[in-house]
This record gives sequence, structure tokens and C-alpha cells, in this order.
Amino acid sequence: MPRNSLHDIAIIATHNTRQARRLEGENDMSLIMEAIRGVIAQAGIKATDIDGVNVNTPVWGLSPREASQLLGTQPRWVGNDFMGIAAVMEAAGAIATGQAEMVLVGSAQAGEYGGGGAVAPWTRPTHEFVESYGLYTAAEFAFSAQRHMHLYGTKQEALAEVAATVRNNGARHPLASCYGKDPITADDVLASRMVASPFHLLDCCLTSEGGAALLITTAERARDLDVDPIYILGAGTDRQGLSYTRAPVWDTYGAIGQRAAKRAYGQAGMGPGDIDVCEFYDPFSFEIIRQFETFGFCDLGEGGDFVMDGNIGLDGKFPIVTNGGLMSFGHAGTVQMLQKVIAAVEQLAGRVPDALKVPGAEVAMATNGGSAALFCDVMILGREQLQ
Amino acid sequence: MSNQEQQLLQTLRAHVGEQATAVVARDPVNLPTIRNWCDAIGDTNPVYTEVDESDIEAPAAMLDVWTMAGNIPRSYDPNDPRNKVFALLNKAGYRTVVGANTKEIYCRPLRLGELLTGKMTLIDVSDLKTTGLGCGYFVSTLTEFTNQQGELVGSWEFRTFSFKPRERSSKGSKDRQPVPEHLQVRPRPGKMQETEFFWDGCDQGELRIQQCNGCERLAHPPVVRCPECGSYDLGHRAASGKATLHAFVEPVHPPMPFMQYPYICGVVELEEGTRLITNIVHCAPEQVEIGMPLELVFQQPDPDLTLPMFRPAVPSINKTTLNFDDLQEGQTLPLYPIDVTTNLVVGGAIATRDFEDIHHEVAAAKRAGLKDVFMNVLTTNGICARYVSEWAGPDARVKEIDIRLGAPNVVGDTMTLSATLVSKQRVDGKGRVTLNLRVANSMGNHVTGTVTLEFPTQAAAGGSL
Repeated sequence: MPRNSLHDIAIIATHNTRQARRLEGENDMSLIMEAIRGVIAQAGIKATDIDGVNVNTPVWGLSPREASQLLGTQPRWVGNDFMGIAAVMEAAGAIATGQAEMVLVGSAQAGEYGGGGAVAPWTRPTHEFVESYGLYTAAEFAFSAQRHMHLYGTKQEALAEVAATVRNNGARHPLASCYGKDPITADDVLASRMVASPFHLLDCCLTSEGGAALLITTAERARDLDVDPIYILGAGTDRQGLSYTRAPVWDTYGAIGQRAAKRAYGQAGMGPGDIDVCEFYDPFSFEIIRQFETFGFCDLGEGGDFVMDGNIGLDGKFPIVTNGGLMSFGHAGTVQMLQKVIAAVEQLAGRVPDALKVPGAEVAMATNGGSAALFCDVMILGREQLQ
Repeated sequence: MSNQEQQLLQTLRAHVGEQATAVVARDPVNLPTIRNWCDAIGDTNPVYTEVDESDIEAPAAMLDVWTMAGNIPRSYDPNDPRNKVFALLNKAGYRTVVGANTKEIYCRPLRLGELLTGKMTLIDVSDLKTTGLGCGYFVSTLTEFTNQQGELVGSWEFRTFSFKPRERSSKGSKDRQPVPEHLQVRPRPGKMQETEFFWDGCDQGELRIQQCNGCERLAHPPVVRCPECGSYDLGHRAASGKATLHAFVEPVHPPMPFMQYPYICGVVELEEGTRLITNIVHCAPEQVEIGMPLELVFQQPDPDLTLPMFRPAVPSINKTTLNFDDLQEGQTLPLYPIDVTTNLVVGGAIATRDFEDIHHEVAAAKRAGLKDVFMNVLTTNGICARYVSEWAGPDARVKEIDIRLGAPNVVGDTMTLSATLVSKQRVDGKGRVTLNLRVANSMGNHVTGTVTLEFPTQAAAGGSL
């Protein structure tokens, strides 16, 4: 396996604020500052040690360039404002090429949805060939799910099993929007109101408010700090066009993310069997099934059976979305994509509530995006640095 | 029921069993009237018009046409029990009358030259009933048709509802938040210079798909560089409008104030080999299935927005009769959308000799509370017969149409016919098939009911050798 400079990069601190449908009294500025102070404290560094920044606050409207002033410091490097795995990869690249040594990545959102908290219905207002037909995000993702059900006989119950598993994880995470909720079953998912066939309400992600941040640095620097570094083993992106503009159908875009996963596996020298935790992107229940197939955990068309066979629980072979994900942890702005990386890091570093711990987890996979979004990014993280 | 109502009902029911004066048709069964009817209804079965005169059969659904009064001043029939009952009901405040059910039984096909007589009997007045329209009484008549030899050739049972309209409550509408103006209409597409050809096409009734002038590859949504050959020289072609349904979704929540529910979003695969997102219209969500054939139909959801949409493709006419033995209980007939045009409504009314003004005069229809003229029952009957016959083939015969009348078919709407085969059996060496029929439009079910068809069977065909 060729040496990759990504392997010299570690994530050394993570912080999630509390997530909720509505965080009274908070705005995205107060939340991002909490997250930033959280990671600085956890890493035991000074604000002035941070020389690279990629932070945005969508409601306040601060771009990374503007937000870089928040610390009152003069960062050497500023990232683009695309959050999530892509932002972590960008920061890692900047560190690997010597443009920065300690990069802060974070985002927060509050106040966007007002008090309603419903799924924002007109999420994509400017798409010429879809916008006039009454489509919205859930409906576009549903095309893909429905086609899969048609081709492979995938059952609603399989989708519901995914949703129940994810939501029951979130109910046990103290920071999650849905913390403290009673456990649910697949039947409860099926009994919830229909949103866009085949998705019931509980098959869909929520909208919420919250913030998060993480710190990235070199493995060398990490050794000098009192931190639990988690290492990047491999990563890849797959971009196939402007999100939500094309017919997002299964046979065209169902395998989106495959190229990203192949690249990540190649860099890590690993395959699906080496993954201990699957922090997959969960905008809709079906996307988990799609990713298991696309990333090679099971054969094409068998994702439905795969999730029904006891694989995806915390005690299963491939536990999914251990923090509750977009469905029950948080889905605020773009920070939710970064929170997939954070979930993987915290699970590997053991910074999760006991009830959600995956014992002995060494390697985790985090993903962003899905088929209707027409992009899918993949990152594999590990407790051990690749030598 | 109050004493007053009981007295009314007693008076009404006293007329049950009474018969109106027999009506003798003005003309015998004749080819010009048949041709006229076939033209109006769109029925092209050759057995009605194209064979030797001695073999010509009148369309079964024309049964009532022959004895219709036509556009002549009607003389009041003092014996007509229905008139008597209607007069009583009118006096008691039950002034609005709508057709509720019609059931026609066709004993055998009629031949040219037969002269029909219709005898109507009042057969039932219901108890006081409350429906969605209001409360009132159902009045049923049975008309039996005989020919000049006195042979019974068919019958027509007609049930009407005389009612006091229900008071409409405006409760609830006050509490609702007003929909902002910009959400009352669908979002307008954000057109670009590069995509103008598409929207220009829509205005001209043409679905245009971008095509590379180099390698002829199609692209939708349009691109700026051909993904196949790399050419920047891009043109477009007109799509035929034929497509199949690749995937669909019925969005139900959250509510889109600018959409009419229910609606279907579909990914359709064009015959030319590319796909687009659109709405599937003119069929109910439960009738939509992956793979169904579709046809292009431009729609104007708002006055200044024309969008290409797709609906069930009109099925082709079966030129050879289906084999009775191949038919399966539970099988469905293809959906059949028919635009309710002025031509169809007015043409159908006149061809069925129905000169009621509500079927040909917009002002009269408006007085009746509708925005345009609407289809008469006999035209609906004829179209139902045509639908099942075009599926079954030219040798199948309609034996019975038993339907419940619902939402009116107003000009500008589209009626979509659908049917399921619910039973098949052999009767007297012939194959009998009963279909559950539904005709829906934008307001709901226009009619629901059953149609019975008779098929020649192998045994019968063998006998004629």
C-alpha cells in the first residue's frame, strides 16, 4: 500500500453542542463559540495555536473568511465553506502541504426554521426542471427507494428497521434532539404518517438546531498533546452533479459513493469487513440500505435482508449511526455532515455514553450525502495510525 | 321521520306501480342515427356501420336513444307517475334533482328497421335519505323496450335523487393561516438562456430534448458540453411524447399550498431514451405503477405556466376479439383518459337526442352551478360501452351497464376510465364477463359500477362451422 500523507493527519478534539428542534436563547454565533471553546479546552491548546480555520454560520451569514476573525487571531489558512467530510479532507490536505498545522473546522445553525421545526419543504428553490412539480427532498430520495423496492423486492419493514435502530440510538445520547424518547419498533415507524411514499415520517431525518467543531493537526503534533488522536485512514469523494436537479433514479445514481469508498478502502488497505462502526449518512432510512450495497458490505439488492439480519444494532457486526444521526441526533444546516466525522471519532476515542459504546471499535466509516443529493463522500478513521 | 314526511312518503308511494303512456319511437333503428352516435361517441366498431346492412347492429348503449323525445315541445303526459311524484316533491321543498343510478340491460343487439316502444313504470320511492348533497328521496323507474313484435329487447332502470341541498358550513376556514401570495402558484422555473429552447417548446406544444449535433446523444436537463463526445455544438429535437413510467412518488407531507392533492411526481423514460421529472396526471395514485405506458400532455396548473406532464397512454383498439379462455379474474384493463371537450359533450348530447340546455349552453350550465356544460348520462353510457368494447374486441357485446352517477363531467376536465375483471362464467355457450368500472375526473368519481360483456367462445365458434 502506498504511503499517503493523509495518514499523518489526526483529529484530536471534537465538540457537539446540545442539539434540539429549537434551542431557545441560542443563535448560530453562540453555538459556534461554544463548540470552538469546547475543542480548544479538550485539546489543551491556546486559541492562537489555531492557524487554519473553516467555520461558517449560515444564519448569521458569516463565510469562513469572515468567521476566521471570531477568535481574534490571524489564521494563515482559510477553507471553503462546504462542511463535512470534504471540509476535513480539505483541511487535512492543507496540513499535509504545510499551509497550516492546527485547523479548526466547525459550523452551527439556529433560528433558521423559526418555531415550526417542520421539515423545510422548499429546500431547493432554484432548480429549473424539478421545482414546478411539487418535489422536495424527501420525494426525490423516495424515487430511489421505490425503484429499489420494485427491482429487488426490498420491504418497507427493512426501511423501518433501519429507522427504529437509528432513532433508538439517538434516544440514548444526552446531546441528541430526541434524547430520552421511548424506544420504538419498526411497527411504530410503519404506523407513522406517510410523507412521500415509501417514506413514513419516522423514515425521515428531522430538522434541528445545534453546532459542532473539531480540531485537525499532524500526528506528530498530536503526540505532544494530552489527546486521544483518531487518524484518517482513507477518504474519497464522488460528485455527479448539482444536487436535486436530475431524476435521482436508482440505476443511474444508486451507486453514488462507490468511487469514494473504493478510494478510501484503497488508501486504508481495507475492505468492508474491517469496518467496526458505520456512521453512514441517514437522511432517509433507505439510504443506509443503499450504502451497505454500494460500499460492498453486501451484494446489490440484498441490503434489505442485510439490515434485517441483526447486523446494524450496537451489538451487531456493523452498528450504524451510533449517535442517532440526522434522524434523531441533529440535522442543523451543514454541520450535520461534520457530525458524521465527529460521531466516528468519538466512538473510536470512547467519548460516547456507555449505552452507545461499540466495544473494541478500531475502525469507523463516516459518510456524507446520498443519491438524490448526487454526491457521496466517504472517510475511514482509525484508532491506530497507518504506518 | 316526522308525520309530515310520513304522509308525503305515503302519497308518493301510492304512485308506485303506475305506468306512463307508452312512447313509440319516431323512427325505426336506422343507419344515419347510428352513424351520428358513433361519430359523437368515437366508437369505431365496424359492426355498427361498416358491414352489410343486414348484418348491422345498433350499439347496445343506444337503447334509450330511439324513444327519446328529441327537440320537440314535450306534451305533458298526465299518466306519467314520475312527473306526479316530482310535482309532489317539488311542493314539499325537494326541488333539486340529480341522476343517481342507471342500469341498462340489453337482451340482444338491435337491427335496422326495428321500431321500439318504451313503457316506463314507477318502481320505487325510497325512505327519506341523507347524502352528501342533502336529504331527500330516491325515485326509481323502469322502462322496458319492446320491438314491433312485442319482443322485449332491453330495459332501463333509472334512479334519481330529489333533495333539499345541504347548508354548506364555512367553519374552519377562518382559523387557517392565509397562504402567502407567492405560494399560491407553483414555483416558476428559473429559466436560463441555454434552456430557453425547452420553454419555448412548451409554449408551442412541443417537448424538446437537448441533442448533441455531433453524436446525437440526448441530455435532459440540458448540458453545456456533450458528455459523450465533448462537442459544444448542441441542438434539440422534439420528443414523440411516448414514454413509460420509471419511478414515482406520492408526496403527502408537508403540504405544498400550490399543489392540488393528491398528486404524483414521476420519473418518466421517454421513447427516445432519456428521462425527465414530471407530474403524472389524469389517474389516481393507486392506479400508478412502474412501467405503465404514458403520453405527453401539456398542462397549465396556473394560467401563465405551461408544463409538460404525462398521463396514461390511450390504449390501442383491439381489432381481434380477446379469447374468453385467456381472460383472468382480477386482471385490469388499461387506463383510458379522455378529454371532456365541448365537442364531445355537445355532440354526445345531440347524438343521444338529449336537448337539455345544461348539455349545450354554457349559461344554463352556469345557472346550475357549474363552470361549463357537462356530459349527459347517455353519452357517459356510450363511452363506457366503447371503452370495454375496444378492449374486448369487435365480437364482444355489452349486455349490461349498471352504474352509479357521481361528479359531473364538465368541459375542460379529463375523464379516465379504468376497469377490473371481477368474474367470468359460461352462460348458454357464451362467455360472460363482469367488469368493475370506474370513471374518474378531477372532482372525483364520475361513475362507478359494473359492465357485463358477452364473448363468443370456442364452442360457439365451432358450432357455426
